[in-house]
Amino acid sequence: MTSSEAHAAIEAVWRLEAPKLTAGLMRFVRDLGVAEDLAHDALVAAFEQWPADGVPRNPGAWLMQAVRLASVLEVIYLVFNEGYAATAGEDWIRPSLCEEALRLGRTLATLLPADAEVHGLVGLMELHASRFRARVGPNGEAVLLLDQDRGRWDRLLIGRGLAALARAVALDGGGGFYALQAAIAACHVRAATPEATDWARIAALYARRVDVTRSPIVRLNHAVAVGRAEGPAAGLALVDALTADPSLAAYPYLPSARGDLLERLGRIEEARTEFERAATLTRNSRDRDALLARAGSLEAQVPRHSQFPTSNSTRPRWKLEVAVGSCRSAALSTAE
Amino acid sequence: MRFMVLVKATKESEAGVMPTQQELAAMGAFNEQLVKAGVLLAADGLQASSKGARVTFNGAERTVVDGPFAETKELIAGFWILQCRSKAEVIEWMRRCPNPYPFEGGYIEIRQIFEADDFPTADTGR
Repeated sequence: MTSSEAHAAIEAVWRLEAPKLTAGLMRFVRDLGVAEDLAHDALVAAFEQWPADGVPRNPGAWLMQAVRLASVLEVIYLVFNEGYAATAGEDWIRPSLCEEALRLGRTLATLLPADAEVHGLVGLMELHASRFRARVGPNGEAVLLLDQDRGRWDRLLIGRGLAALARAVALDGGGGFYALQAAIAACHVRAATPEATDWARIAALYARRVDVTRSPIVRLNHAVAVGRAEGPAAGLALVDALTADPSLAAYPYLPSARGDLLERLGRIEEARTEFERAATLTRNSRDRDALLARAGSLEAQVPRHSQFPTSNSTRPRWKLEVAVGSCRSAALSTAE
Repeated sequence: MRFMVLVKATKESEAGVMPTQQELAAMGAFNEQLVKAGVLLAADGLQASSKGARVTFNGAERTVVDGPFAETKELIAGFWILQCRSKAEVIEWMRRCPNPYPFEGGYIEIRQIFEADDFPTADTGR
Protein backbone atom coordinates (compact mmCIF):
# COMPACT_ATOMS: atom_id res chain seq x y z
CA MET A 1 0.00 0.00 0.00
CA THR A 2 1.35 3.44 -0.82
CA SER A 3 1.62 6.04 1.84
CA SER A 4 -1.03 8.23 0.20
CA GLU A 5 -3.47 5.30 0.07
CA ALA A 6 -2.83 4.69 3.76
CA HIS A 7 -3.39 8.37 4.51
CA ALA A 8 -6.67 8.37 2.57
CA ALA A 9 -7.78 5.30 4.53
CA ILE A 10 -6.81 6.96 7.82
CA GLU A 11 -8.79 10.07 6.95
CA ALA A 12 -11.86 8.05 6.06
CA VAL A 13 -11.65 6.03 9.28
CA TRP A 14 -11.01 9.18 11.24
CA ARG A 15 -14.21 10.85 10.03
CA LEU A 16 -16.20 7.80 11.10
CA GLU A 17 -14.49 7.13 14.39
CA ALA A 18 -13.39 10.47 15.86
CA PRO A 19 -16.69 11.40 17.57
CA LYS A 20 -17.01 7.90 19.07
CA LEU A 21 -13.41 7.98 20.26
CA THR A 22 -13.78 11.39 21.83
CA ALA A 23 -17.03 10.42 23.52
CA GLY A 24 -15.44 7.24 24.89
CA LEU A 25 -12.49 9.20 26.19
CA MET A 26 -14.71 11.73 27.91
CA ARG A 27 -15.71 8.96 30.30
CA PHE A 28 -12.08 8.62 31.40
CA VAL A 29 -10.84 12.16 31.46
CA ARG A 30 -13.99 14.29 31.86
CA ASP A 31 -12.50 17.13 29.87
CA LEU A 32 -13.38 17.67 26.24
CA GLY A 33 -10.09 19.37 25.36
CA VAL A 34 -8.05 16.53 26.82
CA ALA A 35 -10.27 13.91 25.16
CA GLU A 36 -9.78 15.57 21.77
CA ASP A 37 -6.04 15.77 22.32
CA LEU A 38 -5.88 12.07 23.15
CA ALA A 39 -7.99 11.15 20.14
CA HIS A 40 -5.60 13.25 18.09
CA ASP A 41 -2.65 11.31 19.54
CA ALA A 42 -4.24 8.11 18.26
CA LEU A 43 -4.55 9.69 14.83
CA VAL A 44 -0.86 10.63 14.88
CA ALA A 45 -0.03 7.02 15.87
CA ALA A 46 -2.10 5.78 12.93
CA PHE A 47 -0.27 8.08 10.55
CA GLU A 48 3.02 6.66 11.82
CA GLN A 49 2.11 2.97 11.76
CA TRP A 50 -0.48 2.29 9.10
CA PRO A 51 1.58 3.26 6.04
CA ALA A 52 4.28 0.83 7.25
CA ASP A 53 2.14 -1.98 8.68
CA GLY A 54 -1.00 -1.66 6.57
CA VAL A 55 -4.45 -0.57 7.69
CA PRO A 56 -5.58 -2.85 10.53
CA ARG A 57 -8.56 -5.14 9.96
CA ASN A 58 -10.68 -3.22 12.45
CA PRO A 59 -9.38 0.35 12.33
CA GLY A 60 -11.89 1.69 14.84
CA ALA A 61 -10.86 -0.88 17.46
CA TRP A 62 -7.19 -0.18 16.73
CA LEU A 63 -7.71 3.53 17.30
CA MET A 64 -9.67 2.94 20.47
CA GLN A 65 -6.96 0.68 21.83
CA ALA A 66 -4.26 3.22 20.99
CA VAL A 67 -6.34 5.90 22.66
CA ARG A 68 -7.06 3.81 25.75
CA LEU A 69 -3.41 3.10 26.34
CA ALA A 70 -2.56 6.75 25.69
CA SER A 71 -5.21 7.82 28.18
CA VAL A 72 -4.01 5.34 30.80
CA LEU A 73 -0.47 6.67 30.43
CA GLU A 74 -1.85 10.19 30.55
CA VAL A 75 -3.70 9.54 33.79
CA ILE A 76 -0.66 7.88 35.40
CA TYR A 77 1.44 10.86 34.43
CA LEU A 78 -1.16 13.31 35.72
CA VAL A 79 -1.08 11.58 39.09
CA PHE A 80 2.70 11.67 39.12
CA ASN A 81 2.77 15.35 38.18
CA GLU A 82 0.28 16.30 40.81
CA GLY A 83 2.61 14.73 43.35
CA TYR A 84 5.78 16.08 41.77
CA ALA A 85 4.78 19.71 41.46
CA ALA A 86 1.63 20.41 43.43
CA THR A 87 -0.30 22.97 41.39
CA ALA A 88 -1.59 24.88 44.38
CA GLY A 89 -0.95 25.04 48.09
CA GLU A 90 2.01 24.83 50.44
CA ASP A 91 3.86 21.71 49.47
CA TRP A 92 6.15 21.19 46.54
CA ILE A 93 6.09 17.45 46.52
CA ARG A 94 3.52 14.86 47.54
CA PRO A 95 5.64 11.74 47.37
CA SER A 96 2.85 9.23 47.95
CA LEU A 97 1.12 10.27 44.71
CA CYS A 98 4.37 9.91 42.81
CA GLU A 99 4.95 6.49 44.31
CA GLU A 100 1.50 5.31 43.29
CA ALA A 101 2.05 6.53 39.75
CA LEU A 102 5.48 4.92 39.56
CA ARG A 103 4.08 1.67 40.81
CA LEU A 104 1.28 1.68 38.24
CA GLY A 105 3.74 2.54 35.50
CA ARG A 106 6.13 -0.25 36.46
CA THR A 107 3.26 -2.71 36.57
CA LEU A 108 2.06 -1.57 33.16
CA ALA A 109 5.58 -2.00 31.77
CA THR A 110 5.57 -5.67 32.77
CA LEU A 111 2.15 -6.13 31.16
CA LEU A 112 3.10 -4.35 27.92
CA PRO A 113 6.86 -4.96 27.57
CA ALA A 114 6.81 -4.21 23.83
CA ASP A 115 5.21 -0.77 24.17
CA ALA A 116 7.87 1.93 23.85
CA GLU A 117 5.77 4.71 25.34
CA VAL A 118 5.14 2.80 28.56
CA HIS A 119 8.90 2.42 29.03
CA GLY A 120 9.35 6.08 28.09
CA LEU A 121 6.86 7.13 30.74
CA VAL A 122 8.40 4.89 33.41
CA GLY A 123 11.86 6.21 32.54
CA LEU A 124 10.63 9.79 32.78
CA MET A 125 9.02 9.23 36.17
CA GLU A 126 12.01 7.33 37.59
CA LEU A 127 14.39 10.07 36.47
CA HIS A 128 12.25 12.84 37.94
CA ALA A 129 11.78 10.87 41.16
CA SER A 130 15.56 10.42 41.44
CA ARG A 131 15.80 14.14 42.27
CA PHE A 132 13.16 14.26 45.03
CA ARG A 133 15.61 14.35 47.92
CA ALA A 134 17.48 17.27 46.42
CA ARG A 135 14.42 19.36 45.50
CA VAL A 136 13.59 20.61 48.98
CA GLY A 137 16.01 22.69 51.05
CA PRO A 138 16.50 22.75 54.82
CA ASN A 139 13.66 25.26 55.29
CA GLY A 140 11.23 23.42 53.05
CA GLU A 141 12.00 25.78 50.19
CA ALA A 142 12.34 24.68 46.60
CA VAL A 143 15.84 23.95 45.39
CA LEU A 144 15.96 24.21 41.64
CA LEU A 145 17.61 21.83 39.26
CA LEU A 146 20.90 23.62 38.72
CA ASP A 147 21.31 24.42 42.42
CA GLN A 148 20.64 20.90 43.63
CA ASP A 149 23.25 18.83 45.43
CA ARG A 150 23.75 16.12 42.84
CA GLY A 151 25.17 13.83 45.50
CA ARG A 152 21.64 13.57 46.86
CA TRP A 153 20.19 12.36 43.60
CA ASP A 154 19.13 8.75 43.88
CA ARG A 155 21.53 6.64 41.81
CA LEU A 156 19.28 3.58 42.02
CA LEU A 157 16.36 5.43 40.41
CA ILE A 158 18.67 7.06 37.89
CA GLY A 159 19.90 3.62 36.85
CA ARG A 160 16.34 2.36 36.57
CA GLY A 161 15.24 5.43 34.61
CA LEU A 162 18.11 5.23 32.14
CA ALA A 163 17.43 1.51 31.65
CA ALA A 164 13.74 2.18 30.95
CA LEU A 165 14.66 4.93 28.50
CA ALA A 166 17.11 2.57 26.77
CA ARG A 167 14.27 0.04 26.35
CA ALA A 168 12.05 2.71 24.78
CA VAL A 169 14.85 3.76 22.43
CA ALA A 170 15.53 0.13 21.47
CA LEU A 171 11.85 -0.40 20.66
CA ASP A 172 11.09 2.63 18.51
CA GLY A 173 13.99 5.06 18.53
CA GLY A 174 12.79 7.03 21.54
CA GLY A 175 10.81 9.63 19.62
CA GLY A 176 7.62 9.24 21.64
CA PHE A 177 5.96 11.88 23.77
CA TYR A 178 7.32 10.55 27.08
CA ALA A 179 10.58 9.10 25.80
CA LEU A 180 11.68 12.50 24.48
CA GLN A 181 11.02 14.06 27.88
CA ALA A 182 12.87 11.20 29.55
CA ALA A 183 15.80 11.81 27.20
CA ILE A 184 15.87 15.44 28.35
CA ALA A 185 15.79 14.40 32.01
CA ALA A 186 18.58 11.93 31.20
CA CYS A 187 20.79 14.79 29.95
CA HIS A 188 20.53 16.38 33.39
CA VAL A 189 21.23 13.26 35.42
CA ARG A 190 24.20 12.34 33.24
CA ALA A 191 25.89 15.68 33.96
CA ALA A 192 28.17 15.45 37.00
CA THR A 193 27.97 19.24 37.45
CA PRO A 194 25.51 21.87 36.15
CA GLU A 195 28.28 23.26 33.93
CA ALA A 196 28.66 19.85 32.29
CA THR A 197 25.02 19.87 31.10
CA ASP A 198 24.71 19.19 27.38
CA TRP A 199 22.42 22.13 26.58
CA ALA A 200 22.83 21.76 22.85
CA ARG A 201 21.43 18.22 23.05
CA ILE A 202 18.63 19.39 25.35
CA ALA A 203 17.74 22.17 22.92
CA ALA A 204 17.74 19.67 20.04
CA LEU A 205 15.44 17.32 22.00
CA TYR A 206 13.07 20.20 22.75
CA ALA A 207 13.08 21.08 19.06
CA ARG A 208 11.89 17.51 18.37
CA ARG A 209 9.22 17.92 21.03
CA VAL A 210 8.07 21.17 19.42
CA ASP A 211 7.59 19.21 16.18
CA VAL A 212 5.55 16.55 17.97
CA THR A 213 3.34 18.71 20.18
CA ARG A 214 3.39 22.25 18.73
CA SER A 215 2.66 23.29 22.32
CA PRO A 216 3.60 26.86 23.34
CA ILE A 217 4.84 25.51 26.69
CA VAL A 218 7.24 23.17 24.94
CA ARG A 219 8.31 26.09 22.75
CA LEU A 220 9.01 28.06 25.91
CA ASN A 221 11.15 25.22 27.27
CA HIS A 222 12.95 25.06 23.95
CA ALA A 223 13.67 28.78 24.18
CA VAL A 224 15.12 28.38 27.67
CA ALA A 225 17.37 25.53 26.52
CA VAL A 226 18.53 27.60 23.54
CA GLY A 227 19.24 30.43 25.98
CA ARG A 228 21.64 28.08 27.76
CA ALA A 229 23.15 26.50 24.66
CA GLU A 230 23.58 29.62 22.53
CA GLY A 231 23.31 32.49 24.98
CA PRO A 232 20.57 34.66 26.49
CA ALA A 233 20.01 36.79 23.37
CA ALA A 234 19.11 33.75 21.26
CA GLY A 235 16.81 32.48 24.01
CA LEU A 236 15.14 35.86 24.49
CA ALA A 237 14.34 36.17 20.79
CA LEU A 238 12.43 32.86 20.99
CA VAL A 239 10.70 33.78 24.26
CA ASP A 240 9.63 37.17 22.91
CA ALA A 241 7.95 35.40 20.00
CA LEU A 242 5.70 33.67 22.56
CA THR A 243 4.59 36.69 24.59
CA ALA A 244 1.64 37.33 22.27
CA ASP A 245 0.33 33.77 22.63
CA PRO A 246 -2.98 34.07 24.51
CA SER A 247 -2.67 30.58 26.03
CA LEU A 248 0.46 31.74 27.89
CA ALA A 249 -1.03 35.04 29.11
CA ALA A 250 -1.46 33.77 32.68
CA TYR A 251 1.44 31.30 32.62
CA PRO A 252 3.95 32.27 35.35
CA TYR A 253 6.88 30.46 33.77
CA LEU A 254 6.85 32.77 30.75
CA PRO A 255 7.71 35.96 32.68
CA SER A 256 10.08 34.05 34.96
CA ALA A 257 11.99 32.60 32.01
CA ARG A 258 12.02 36.01 30.36
CA GLY A 259 13.23 37.60 33.59
CA ASP A 260 16.13 35.17 33.79
CA LEU A 261 17.25 35.87 30.23
CA LEU A 262 16.91 39.65 30.74
CA GLU A 263 18.97 39.42 33.92
CA ARG A 264 21.70 37.54 32.11
CA LEU A 265 21.69 40.28 29.47
CA GLY A 266 22.14 42.88 32.20
CA ARG A 267 18.63 44.36 31.71
CA ILE A 268 18.06 44.29 35.47
CA GLU A 269 15.06 46.60 35.80
CA GLU A 270 13.08 44.73 33.12
CA ALA A 271 14.11 41.42 34.71
CA ARG A 272 12.81 42.50 38.12
CA THR A 273 9.44 43.50 36.66
CA GLU A 274 9.13 40.09 35.01
CA PHE A 275 9.85 38.18 38.23
CA GLU A 276 7.27 40.29 40.06
CA ARG A 277 4.74 39.60 37.35
CA ALA A 278 5.46 35.86 37.54
CA ALA A 279 4.92 36.02 41.32
CA THR A 280 1.45 37.48 40.85
CA LEU A 281 0.55 34.67 38.42
CA THR A 282 1.63 31.59 40.36
CA ARG A 283 -0.77 29.82 42.70
CA ASN A 284 1.90 27.93 44.62
CA SER A 285 2.99 29.91 47.66
CA ARG A 286 6.52 28.50 47.68
CA ASP A 287 6.94 29.42 44.03
CA ARG A 288 5.75 32.91 44.87
CA ASP A 289 8.30 33.25 47.68
CA ALA A 290 11.13 32.14 45.41
CA LEU A 291 10.10 34.60 42.68
CA LEU A 292 9.71 37.54 45.05
CA ALA A 293 13.10 36.74 46.60
CA ARG A 294 14.65 36.81 43.18
CA ALA A 295 12.97 40.12 42.29
CA GLY A 296 14.15 41.52 45.63
CA SER A 297 17.73 40.43 44.97
CA LEU A 298 17.69 42.48 41.76
CA GLU A 299 16.33 45.59 43.45
CA ALA A 300 19.62 46.05 45.29
CA GLN A 301 21.67 45.87 42.13
CA VAL A 302 22.89 48.90 40.24
CA PRO A 303 22.33 48.12 36.57
CA ARG A 304 25.62 49.41 35.19
CA HIS A 305 27.59 47.16 37.55
CA SER A 306 25.70 44.10 36.52
CA GLN A 307 26.25 43.96 32.81
CA PHE A 308 27.67 40.48 33.21
CA PRO A 309 26.03 38.99 36.26
CA THR A 310 27.79 35.86 37.40
CA SER A 311 25.92 32.73 38.17
CA ASN A 312 25.13 32.80 41.87
CA SER A 313 24.27 29.49 43.39
CA THR A 314 22.44 31.00 46.36
CA ARG A 315 20.00 32.83 44.13
CA PRO A 316 16.99 30.75 43.17
CA ARG A 317 17.25 30.06 39.49
CA TRP A 318 13.55 29.59 39.42
CA LYS A 319 12.73 29.00 35.84
CA LEU A 320 15.21 26.28 35.10
CA GLU A 321 13.61 23.63 37.20
CA VAL A 322 10.26 24.58 35.89
CA ALA A 323 11.10 25.21 32.32
CA VAL A 324 13.89 22.79 31.58
CA GLY A 325 13.10 20.13 34.11
CA SER A 326 9.44 20.57 33.35
CA CYS A 327 7.27 17.53 33.65
CA ARG A 328 3.93 19.21 33.31
CA SER A 329 1.69 17.63 30.79
CA ALA A 330 -1.45 18.27 28.88
CA ALA A 331 -4.35 18.56 31.23
CA LEU A 332 -2.41 20.27 33.99
CA SER A 333 -1.25 23.12 31.91
CA THR A 334 -3.18 24.99 29.33
CA ALA A 335 -1.65 23.84 26.15
CA GLU A 336 0.95 21.10 26.14
CA MET B 1 8.05 4.66 51.24
CA ARG B 2 10.99 2.38 50.72
CA PHE B 3 12.26 -0.54 52.70
CA MET B 4 15.38 -2.62 52.66
CA VAL B 5 14.80 -6.26 53.45
CA LEU B 6 17.92 -8.01 54.69
CA VAL B 7 18.65 -11.72 54.49
CA LYS B 8 21.19 -13.03 56.98
CA ALA B 9 24.04 -15.33 56.14
CA THR B 10 23.96 -19.04 56.91
CA LYS B 11 26.62 -21.74 57.25
CA GLU B 12 25.80 -22.72 53.69
CA SER B 13 25.95 -19.22 52.22
CA GLU B 14 29.25 -18.62 54.00
CA ALA B 15 30.58 -21.92 52.64
CA GLY B 16 29.69 -20.73 49.14
CA VAL B 17 27.01 -23.40 48.65
CA MET B 18 24.80 -22.27 45.76
CA PRO B 19 21.00 -22.57 46.01
CA THR B 20 19.45 -25.49 44.16
CA GLN B 21 17.71 -24.98 40.80
CA GLN B 22 14.40 -25.41 42.58
CA GLU B 23 15.22 -22.78 45.19
CA LEU B 24 16.41 -20.37 42.50
CA ALA B 25 13.23 -20.90 40.50
CA ALA B 26 11.03 -20.31 43.55
CA MET B 27 12.88 -17.10 44.44
CA GLY B 28 12.75 -16.01 40.80
CA ALA B 29 8.98 -16.50 40.74
CA PHE B 30 8.62 -14.51 43.97
CA ASN B 31 10.73 -11.66 42.60
CA GLU B 32 8.69 -11.66 39.43
CA GLN B 33 5.55 -11.12 41.49
CA LEU B 34 7.25 -8.14 43.13
CA VAL B 35 8.19 -6.73 39.72
CA LYS B 36 4.67 -7.20 38.38
CA ALA B 37 3.26 -5.35 41.36
CA GLY B 38 5.67 -2.50 40.68
CA VAL B 39 7.24 -2.69 44.14
CA LEU B 40 10.71 -4.14 43.46
CA LEU B 41 13.41 -1.51 43.00
CA ALA B 42 16.46 -3.73 43.44
CA ALA B 43 17.48 -7.12 44.78
CA ASP B 44 20.81 -8.85 44.97
CA GLY B 45 22.60 -11.63 46.76
CA LEU B 46 25.98 -11.15 48.39
CA GLN B 47 28.89 -13.52 48.08
CA ALA B 48 30.47 -15.20 51.11
CA SER B 49 32.30 -12.92 53.54
CA SER B 50 35.54 -14.70 52.60
CA LYS B 51 35.45 -12.53 49.45
CA GLY B 52 34.92 -9.33 51.47
CA ALA B 53 36.87 -7.21 53.93
CA ARG B 54 36.33 -4.91 56.88
CA VAL B 55 37.76 -1.47 57.42
CA THR B 56 37.79 -0.81 61.16
CA PHE B 57 37.73 2.79 62.47
CA ASN B 58 39.38 3.72 65.70
CA GLY B 59 39.91 7.49 66.02
CA ALA B 60 42.22 8.42 63.17
CA GLU B 61 43.33 4.82 62.73
CA ARG B 62 42.07 2.53 59.97
CA THR B 63 42.62 -1.20 60.09
CA VAL B 64 41.77 -3.50 57.23
CA VAL B 65 40.84 -7.11 57.91
CA ASP B 66 40.05 -9.54 55.14
CA GLY B 67 37.16 -11.98 55.46
CA PRO B 68 35.87 -14.52 56.28
CA PHE B 69 34.16 -13.40 59.48
CA ALA B 70 33.06 -15.79 62.14
CA GLU B 71 29.74 -14.45 63.49
CA THR B 72 27.62 -15.83 60.63
CA LYS B 73 24.23 -14.65 61.86
CA GLU B 74 25.33 -11.01 61.96
CA LEU B 75 26.43 -11.13 58.36
CA ILE B 76 24.18 -10.16 55.49
CA ALA B 77 23.73 -12.47 52.53
CA GLY B 78 21.32 -10.51 50.37
CA PHE B 79 18.76 -7.73 50.17
CA TRP B 80 15.69 -6.39 48.45
CA ILE B 81 14.73 -2.75 48.14
CA LEU B 82 10.96 -2.47 47.96
CA GLN B 83 8.73 0.55 47.48
CA CYS B 84 5.44 -0.09 49.27
CA ARG B 85 2.57 1.89 50.77
CA SER B 86 3.27 0.75 54.32
CA LYS B 87 5.37 -1.54 56.48
CA ALA B 88 2.34 -3.81 56.69
CA GLU B 89 2.44 -4.27 52.93
CA VAL B 90 6.13 -5.20 53.00
CA ILE B 91 5.41 -7.70 55.76
CA GLU B 92 2.63 -9.25 53.69
CA TRP B 93 4.95 -9.58 50.71
CA MET B 94 7.77 -11.07 52.74
CA ARG B 95 5.55 -13.64 54.39
CA ARG B 96 5.08 -15.00 50.87
CA CYS B 97 8.82 -15.22 50.27
CA PRO B 98 10.22 -18.74 49.80
CA ASN B 99 12.16 -19.77 52.89
CA PRO B 100 15.68 -18.42 52.43
CA TYR B 101 16.92 -20.65 55.27
CA PRO B 102 15.89 -24.19 54.23
CA PHE B 103 18.35 -25.84 56.64
CA GLU B 104 18.28 -24.24 60.07
CA GLY B 105 15.54 -21.59 59.79
CA GLY B 106 16.08 -17.88 60.45
CA TYR B 107 14.61 -14.43 59.93
CA ILE B 108 14.74 -11.66 57.39
CA GLU B 109 14.82 -8.08 58.64
CA ILE B 110 12.69 -5.21 57.30
CA ARG B 111 14.12 -1.73 57.66
CA GLN B 112 12.62 1.53 56.41
CA ILE B 113 14.83 3.74 54.25
CA PHE B 114 15.06 7.45 55.11
CA GLU B 115 13.22 9.70 52.66
CA ALA B 116 13.55 13.44 52.08
CA ASP B 117 10.57 14.04 54.41
CA ASP B 118 12.32 12.32 57.30
CA PHE B 119 15.05 14.92 57.60
CA PRO B 120 14.44 17.79 60.00
CA THR B 121 13.64 21.17 58.54
CA ALA B 122 14.80 24.35 60.23
CA ASP B 123 11.39 26.01 60.48
CA THR B 124 9.54 23.13 62.09
CA GLY B 125 12.47 21.81 64.09
CA ARG B 126 11.33 18.32 63.17
